[in-house]
Amino acid sequence: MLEAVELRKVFKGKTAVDHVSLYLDEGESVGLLGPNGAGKSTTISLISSLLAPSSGDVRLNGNSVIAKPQQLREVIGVVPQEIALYEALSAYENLKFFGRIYRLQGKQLEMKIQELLEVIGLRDRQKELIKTYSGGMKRRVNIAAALMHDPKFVIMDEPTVGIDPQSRNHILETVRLLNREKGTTVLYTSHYMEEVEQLCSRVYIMDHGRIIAAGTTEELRRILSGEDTLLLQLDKPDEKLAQELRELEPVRQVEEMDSGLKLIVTKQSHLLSEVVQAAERHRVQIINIHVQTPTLEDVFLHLTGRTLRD
Amino acid sequence: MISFFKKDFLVYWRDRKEIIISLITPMVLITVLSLALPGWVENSTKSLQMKVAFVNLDDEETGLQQIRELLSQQTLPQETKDLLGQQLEQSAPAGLFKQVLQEDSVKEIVTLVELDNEEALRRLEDGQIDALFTIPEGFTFAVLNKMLLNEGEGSEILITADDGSLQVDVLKDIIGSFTRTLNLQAAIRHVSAGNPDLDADRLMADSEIGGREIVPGVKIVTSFQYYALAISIVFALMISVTVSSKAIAEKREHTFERILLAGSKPVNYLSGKMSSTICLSLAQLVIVLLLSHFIFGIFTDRSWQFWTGMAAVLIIMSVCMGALSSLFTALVFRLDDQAASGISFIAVIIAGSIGGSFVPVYVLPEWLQAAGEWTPNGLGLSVLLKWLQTETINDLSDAMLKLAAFSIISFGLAVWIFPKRGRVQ
Repeated sequence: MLEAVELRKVFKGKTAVDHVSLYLDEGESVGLLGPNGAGKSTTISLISSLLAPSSGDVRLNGNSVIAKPQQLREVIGVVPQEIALYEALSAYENLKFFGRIYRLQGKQLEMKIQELLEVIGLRDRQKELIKTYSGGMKRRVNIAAALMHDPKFVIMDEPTVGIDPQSRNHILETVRLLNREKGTTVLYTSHYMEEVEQLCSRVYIMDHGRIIAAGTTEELRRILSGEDTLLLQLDKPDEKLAQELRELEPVRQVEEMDSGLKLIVTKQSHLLSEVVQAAERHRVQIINIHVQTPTLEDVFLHLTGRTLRD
Repeated sequence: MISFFKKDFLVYWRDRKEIIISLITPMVLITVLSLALPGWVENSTKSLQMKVAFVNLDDEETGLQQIRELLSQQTLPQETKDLLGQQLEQSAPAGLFKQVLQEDSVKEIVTLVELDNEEALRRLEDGQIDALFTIPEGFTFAVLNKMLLNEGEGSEILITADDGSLQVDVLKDIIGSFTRTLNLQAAIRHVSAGNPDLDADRLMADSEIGGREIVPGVKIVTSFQYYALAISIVFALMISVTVSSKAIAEKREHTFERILLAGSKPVNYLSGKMSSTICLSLAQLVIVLLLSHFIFGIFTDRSWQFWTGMAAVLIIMSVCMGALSSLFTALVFRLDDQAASGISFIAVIIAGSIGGSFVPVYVLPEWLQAAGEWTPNGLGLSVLLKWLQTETINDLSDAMLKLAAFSIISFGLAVWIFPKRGRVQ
């Protein structure tokens, strides 16, 4: 088991990570959710021994690895948010370099490179330089480079940011394969809620450097079990209408969207007529009303007051 | 380490812009500067000019008188005594030596001032003069006694100087040449004294003192030779900065974090930078110098010894560039990117300027020339220029030892200042 215990990191007087505790059991796939600037990347750097914490501990199978991180580094693979590859080298040369520094040699190295190129679907383009690849292809090689030494734990920091749907599906499939077929423990960081819902059995939600909720996806959804989500499609945006709706008693949250408003309201509350009347007063036409059960996105909105992509 | 070497080498090699800068630009600069500024370099004597004090501790008249008395006591035929007596008046060695120093060809190089011993030593210490010739006490008597009567141990003109520079070598050559000529003349006189068929005067006329032979083996450095060496060396220095600057991208794009997580030691990482820079800078030096040689004919008619010596200096200089590259890389991880780049860039500009890579060292003040020899490029250039002129192995070995020491210190410093646990704080 890999644990972070009360991790804290202060940069120039500003607390980036504030008493974060989390754990990864072997074979688990765990999500770490949070908007930009929530402290996810710093937490990952602390857990993977790339940063020394201001206080707190990181433990592998109960043993602290802060002072001697080598033991952890041998079993961990990190996929950074950035494309951490040499653009002037080909995919094959990049994987060969990273394999060699993990002390792989000869046939073992060659087999591992070809195996991973097959997994990420780039075997036939392995000799091309990274700088000629699309963003999605680079991200796939970025993942493969972290897997050269068959790590037990893989930490992925937003591996699907800014890529095409085909590459995104390929990456999600790779993560599933790693976790379900090879038993690799995955900590998956994203601000794409649906990816975390698809891939992870447990989720930590982080905001302003703190873990604000943790549990299985079902447990988290239950935070909003007493509430419904109401989606109002309007003919035009209206700030005053949103303000009036916020003041209604059953309404917990109002979020303005492109097509209208999203309201988180107390379950069983009969406020449709009040909503319609308010819209009429502001001369706004309601085109469609949709009631849905809460998603993790709604849980996040409920807990933080903002969306993941804020 | 081989993986790091290969990675760093390929990353640089595939950067076409850098390759063009390191090969084409030096060739253009060598051509332009050599044609535009030939006068700055091709003053054959400028590099050898020196101020020398002449200190005479000898009483020439007393020495001559002592020899006359000795001659009169010799059991020689009167005719021989008369001949030697006549020659004595023309053979006062200190006077002859002074005449040599006042010849035009010597005056081009040596500015002579007559001083007493204390003043000369004081000026040498202050750096106002480069060396001093001392005619020791009893010089005239000892030399003539040996020359004419073949008795006693003779005497020597002394040179005192602060360092073993090329100028001092030239002064030694002047004395050596003077001594050889004097000995030759003495030998001729001895032989002719017993053989009336030999015309001593004609033979001595053939052994004139002075002339161009006073600087034997010193060749003129042409502007093409100077700039080919200076420009190729400064561009090799720039390769060390360019290779180290790739570490900024490794830091920014987190490839270095991957390297850390793999448990690689900083010394392996730095060795990769060093070894790739050694190969790249050596390749750059060899290509630019060979191209210059074939295009401009800068090293024609040189011996294998010359090429071997130059190759040895270029190799040790490339090692220096490699060590510098590792030091600049360590700075990238110790400081922020801009500060590290700024320091490396300023270091290259200063080293290039005082090391004679942009303008010939001869136009710089003496203290800057001395400071320039503390830079690897300055020392390398200086030793290669000397090698071009004299091919003296001692000059090479001293400089190569200094360059080797510089490399070891730079690499040691790089390992020392590299963040200890490799953490990116």
